[in-house]
Amino acid sequence: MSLPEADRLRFLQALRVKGRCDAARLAGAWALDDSRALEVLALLRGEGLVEEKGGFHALSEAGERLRAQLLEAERAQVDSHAMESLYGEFLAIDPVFKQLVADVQLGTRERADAASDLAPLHEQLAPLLERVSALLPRLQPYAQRFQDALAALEGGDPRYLASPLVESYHGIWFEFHEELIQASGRTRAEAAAEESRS
Amino acid sequence: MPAADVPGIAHLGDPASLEAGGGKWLGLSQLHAADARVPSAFCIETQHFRELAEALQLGGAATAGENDPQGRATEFRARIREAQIPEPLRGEILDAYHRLGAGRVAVRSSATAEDLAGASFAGQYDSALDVQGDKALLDAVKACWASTFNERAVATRQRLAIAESEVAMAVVVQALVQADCSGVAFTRHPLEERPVMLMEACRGLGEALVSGQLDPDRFEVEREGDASRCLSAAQQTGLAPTQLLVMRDEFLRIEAQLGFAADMEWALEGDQLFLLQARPITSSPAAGAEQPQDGDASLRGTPASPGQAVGRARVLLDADQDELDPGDVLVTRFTDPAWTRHFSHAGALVMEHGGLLCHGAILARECGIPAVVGLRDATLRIAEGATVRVDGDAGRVESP
Repeated sequence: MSLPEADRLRFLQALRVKGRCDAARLAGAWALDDSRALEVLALLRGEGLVEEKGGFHALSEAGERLRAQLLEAERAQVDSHAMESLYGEFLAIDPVFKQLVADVQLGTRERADAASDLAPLHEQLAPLLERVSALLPRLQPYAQRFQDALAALEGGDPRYLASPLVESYHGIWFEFHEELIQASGRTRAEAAAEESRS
Repeated sequence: MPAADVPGIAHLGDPASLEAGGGKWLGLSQLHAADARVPSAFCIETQHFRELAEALQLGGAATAGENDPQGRATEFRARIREAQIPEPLRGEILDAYHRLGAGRVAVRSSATAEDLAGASFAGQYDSALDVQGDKALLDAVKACWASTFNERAVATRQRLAIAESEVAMAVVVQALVQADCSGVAFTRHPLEERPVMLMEACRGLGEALVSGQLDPDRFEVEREGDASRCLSAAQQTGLAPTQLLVMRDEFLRIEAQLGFAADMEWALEGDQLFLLQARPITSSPAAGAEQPQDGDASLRGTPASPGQAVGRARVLLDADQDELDPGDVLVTRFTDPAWTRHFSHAGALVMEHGGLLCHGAILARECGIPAVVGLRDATLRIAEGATVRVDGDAGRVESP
């Protein structure tokens, strides 16, 4: 058994964006169940693209090289105008979300209200996710991931707003932001500089 | 000078305005007026861009382009690149070029909307650094005009709601400085109150430095007095203390003429110091924080997560460079999601980029560790392994 070519970028890029992490967190990002995620990891390790240390997985040098190549190839194919406009739309709601999180963290907004305050923003994000997924199908799992985080938050677990210990809404947002930065050919340094200027 | 009579082609010494010459030309003209040595140059003013835009029917970009601004922008770029520059303008540009000596020149975009509303379009418009010959020059001029409609510039204008009709492009043609060494000087420290100048330098012409692609040599030079200190020498420019003082004196003289503390781009060709650009310094020590006492060596940034912590500084430039021990102070340029795991060990966060709402600040608050962000050059100014105290309420990093 080997990996479908089209899925390689999806697997490698999600691992790159997450950074070193365990199989359970990856399974969510890959939209696979745990046993299938372990199989994929075994295949990637077999090809020398992924290394495992103490239960944590990371791209090997060869994996990083291949990922960069595949991402470049994707960028050459994708409609860059459409990508720029989607990135711009994301940047328009990004500060709204971050302000909401900051308000909760700094106590100017009730933590108990976080889920209901987040709901309208989630509604705004949904059509954007749909169009991003149409352009870059490998990002399809994000819609479900955001949905799950919101459900957990609505279920009363406050960690699902921004805690790095779980797959929180902010954690997923951070990853999605990073995917858009890279898919539009920016670096995080450029994006950070652009953000602090605007 | 007959060339000065040609409408819409300006020379150094002519009256300059943002409207006609764009931000870059205005800056050069101010430097020239301040008796700084600037490379010989002329400017193709915005009226020519407007005329061409009209001739090519690029009007209506602001209103009709709402559905597909990027698609429209692509078409505009193509039309400009394919256009013939009409006479007499074509002849006038070449005439001005031959007056410069018809040698190697830099051709730079100088847009009118660059400095509007605090927006920075740095790096979003095209510039050609080493152009020679009539045809190459005319192509480079068209490339600058076309870059008005670059994807990123169009997207940024949309985001900041700057109307397309507010933007016009002038083009600066400038004799190329054969720089041995070049860089940026801050005539006052952008973050601290100490009376020092910061200079950054790299070898050759410093485009990579200005766009932040490499780590320059860094020097701190007293504004008064003769002391200077090398903070980093990665580029090995080998600028000697005596040279730094000569440069310092020139920067101080120009600063006095300009009337504001400035961030100046410079280039050194032999012992001739050229000024390429000067802008007022915009960043300043954290608002609201009390002024430091004399000799206070603390670094200032934006307080982003409350609390204080003392720990060993770990300067990481890459998320996978190393792992932290519990309580270590993470010092970095910026964070992406791959840095998240470090937050479970870090005792505090210090970051060069970002503000109160950046992802790193959100994570720091969530983990309950103090954070100071937007601290310029933190990864160079804080030594790996040093014990530091991070004050997330005041936005300070200092020796305990």
